[in-house]
Amino acid sequence: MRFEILEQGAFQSALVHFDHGERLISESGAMVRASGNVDIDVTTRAKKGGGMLSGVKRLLGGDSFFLSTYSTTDGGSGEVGIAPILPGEVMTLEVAGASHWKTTGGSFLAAGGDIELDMQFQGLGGFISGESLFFLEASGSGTILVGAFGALRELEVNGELTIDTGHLVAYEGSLDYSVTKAGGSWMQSFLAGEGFVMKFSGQGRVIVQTHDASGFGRRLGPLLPPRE
Amino acid sequence: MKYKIDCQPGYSYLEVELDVSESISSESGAMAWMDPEIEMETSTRGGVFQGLKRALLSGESFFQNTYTTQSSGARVSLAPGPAGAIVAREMNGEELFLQKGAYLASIGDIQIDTKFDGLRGFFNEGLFILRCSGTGTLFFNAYGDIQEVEVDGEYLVDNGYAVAWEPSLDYRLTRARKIRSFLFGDQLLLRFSGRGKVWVQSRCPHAFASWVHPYRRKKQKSNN
Amino acid sequence: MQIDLEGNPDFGEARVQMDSGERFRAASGAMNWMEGDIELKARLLGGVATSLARRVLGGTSLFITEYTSGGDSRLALSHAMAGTLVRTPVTREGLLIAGGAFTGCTDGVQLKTRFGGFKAFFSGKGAFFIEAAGVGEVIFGAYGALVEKELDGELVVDNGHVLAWEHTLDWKLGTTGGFKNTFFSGEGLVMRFSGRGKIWLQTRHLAGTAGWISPFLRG
Repeated sequence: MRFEILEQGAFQSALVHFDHGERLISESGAMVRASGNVDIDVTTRAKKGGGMLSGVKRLLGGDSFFLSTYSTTDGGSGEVGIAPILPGEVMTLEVAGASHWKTTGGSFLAAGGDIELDMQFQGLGGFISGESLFFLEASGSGTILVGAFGALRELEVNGELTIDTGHLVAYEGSLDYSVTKAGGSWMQSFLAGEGFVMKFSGQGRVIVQTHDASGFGRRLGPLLPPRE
Repeated sequence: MKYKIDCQPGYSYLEVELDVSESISSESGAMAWMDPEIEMETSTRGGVFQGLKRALLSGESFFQNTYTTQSSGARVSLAPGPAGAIVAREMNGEELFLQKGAYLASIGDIQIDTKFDGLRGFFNEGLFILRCSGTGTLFFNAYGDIQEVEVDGEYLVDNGYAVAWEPSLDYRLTRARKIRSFLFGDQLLLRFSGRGKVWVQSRCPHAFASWVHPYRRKKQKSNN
Repeated sequence: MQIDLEGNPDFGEARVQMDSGERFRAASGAMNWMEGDIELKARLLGGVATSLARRVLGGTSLFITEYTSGGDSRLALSHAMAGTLVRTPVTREGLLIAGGAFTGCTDGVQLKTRFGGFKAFFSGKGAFFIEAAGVGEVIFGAYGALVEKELDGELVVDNGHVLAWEHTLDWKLGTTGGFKNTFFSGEGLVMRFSGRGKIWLQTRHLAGTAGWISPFLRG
C-alpha cells in the first residue's frame, strides 16, 4: 500500500494505491475518486473483527461518523483519492507496536494495513456543557492519514506544552494530558476566547494545525440561512 | 480587454482592464475592488441568465453585475466565494457543463442555462448543473485547486469534485455500491465515459456544506 | 522578543518568543499553542465606540488577551480565517484594521475601536475597525490572499475585502450607487478610498463564501 501525497497549493490530498487483499478504510465523506475496480462498503464499524458500533455515535453538531472500506473487485490493485473538507495539508503517521496515535475525529481521514480503530470521547466540563472531544485511537501496524485545516506542524513535547483544543490533530499515546483552562480563571479564559486547552506532559510528539476549524465555522455559520 | 488571474491556486482573483467599448459580466457579489471610473449595473437578465426559475434551481444568484467604463484602462477585480482557483476558458461556440456555484464571470456572448439530472427513483436528489455555451471567455471558480483529467475510457469521481466537463463525455450518476446505511445519502458518484476533459477540484462543496451545518443558527419558532 | 511569520501565503502563523517580563497582546481565540511560563489576562478594548460595539457584536470580540512571560516562552498565533498573516510597524498616526482581522500586537501599540460613517444598525459587523497607533508592530490576518496597494488616487472596495489602511487615506462608507445596486448587487457596502497611502486588501470575504455555499445547504 502506498500513500501518495498530492500537492496542490493550499489543498493537499492523497492518492492511496493498494493491492487486492490489503485493508483500506477512510472516513466516508473523504473519498474523492476511485479507480473503476474499487468496491466501497459504508458502515459504522470501527473495531476490527467487531460488528457495528451500538447505535451510531452522535458527534458534536449532530453529524455521524461513517467509515468506508475499500476492496478491489477484480483481484488487481486499485486507487482511492482522499481529501479533507477544508483547505489544508495532509500527512501520514506510522503505527507500529508500542507507537500508537490518537487523532481528533475531524482530522482522521484514512487508515491502511492492520490497524484497529477505537473511538473515545473526552467530556469537557466548565462553561460549554455538552461539548466533548472525539478521538480515534489507532493501534496495530500500518499507516494513518490525517488532514488539517491549515498547515500541519509536528511538535516535540519536552516537559509541558499547552495546545488550544481546536488546533490539535494527533498525539502519541505515550503522552499524558489534562483538559484545562488557558487563563488564570475560567471567566478570564472564556473572555479571552481560549476556553479549553490541553496541557500535554511527558515525552512524545504532537501534530497541530495552524488554523481552527470551529473558529472558521463560528464566523461563517451566522451568515448562512438558519436551519430547522 | 486585458485580464489576469492572480494568487493561484489558493485564493485567486481575476483582474480585468476595460476599454471604453468593452464590458464584462459577473456573478453578483463578485466585485472585490475597482477603479472609480468603472460603472457597475445590476440586472436580473439581459445577457447571461435565461429566466428566474432556472437561476433559482441552479443556485446561481438571481442577479448579475455588468461592468463598463467611460475611461479606457479602468480596472475591476472580481473574487469568487470559495477558497480556490479560477479557470479561464475560451469558448468558440461549443458547450461546457459547470457545477452550480462555479460561474464567476464572462466576456462576450455566453449564455447559461441550467440542467437537472435526477437520480433514478429519487425525486429531489440529483445533479444541478449549468450548461454554458457561446463565444467569448468564460471564467469559472473551484473549491480547491484544479486538475484537468483527459478521460479516455472510464472515470469515477465523487460528484462534488467534478467542477466542469466537456459535453462530449457521457456521464451517469450512481451511488457507491453496497451502501448499508441510508443515513449516508448525500454522496453521489459520477461515472464519466468516452473521451473528453473533466476539471476535478480538490475539495468538495457538499462536504463543506455538511461540515458547516451545525454552525448555522436554528430557525426561530414562529409565535402563533 | 522575537516574532517570526510562517506558513504564508495560505496559512499564516506567527511565532512569538518572549523573555521574562515581556508582554504580547492577541485577539481572543488567536492562540494556537504555547510553551513555557506564560500568564493570560483578558483585557477590554477601549475606544469611543465600545458600548456601541458591544451591542452590535456581542461580548467576546471586544476582549483581547494579554500574554505575560515569566521566563523563556513561546507562543504561536494565527487568525481565525485561513490566509496571509501580515506584520507591519505602526506609526504615531496609525493604521485602521478591519475589526475581525486584528490578530496581535506588541506592547507600545495603542488599540481603539472605531466605527464607520454609517449608523450602526445599517453597517453591521463590517464597519467595525480597530485603530492601531503608537510604537511597535501589529499583526493582522487576511481571509485569503493579500493584495497591497500604494494608493495615489481613488479606489472603490467592497467592504468585505478591506483588510487595513493607513491613516493618511481619506475614506467614505457608501453604496455602489442607486438603491437597486445596493440591495441586489451583493455588494452591500463599499468603501471609497482617496489620497495617498497604503491599503491592504484580501481576496475573500465571508459573505461571498456564505453566498456560494448556501445552495448546497440542506434543511
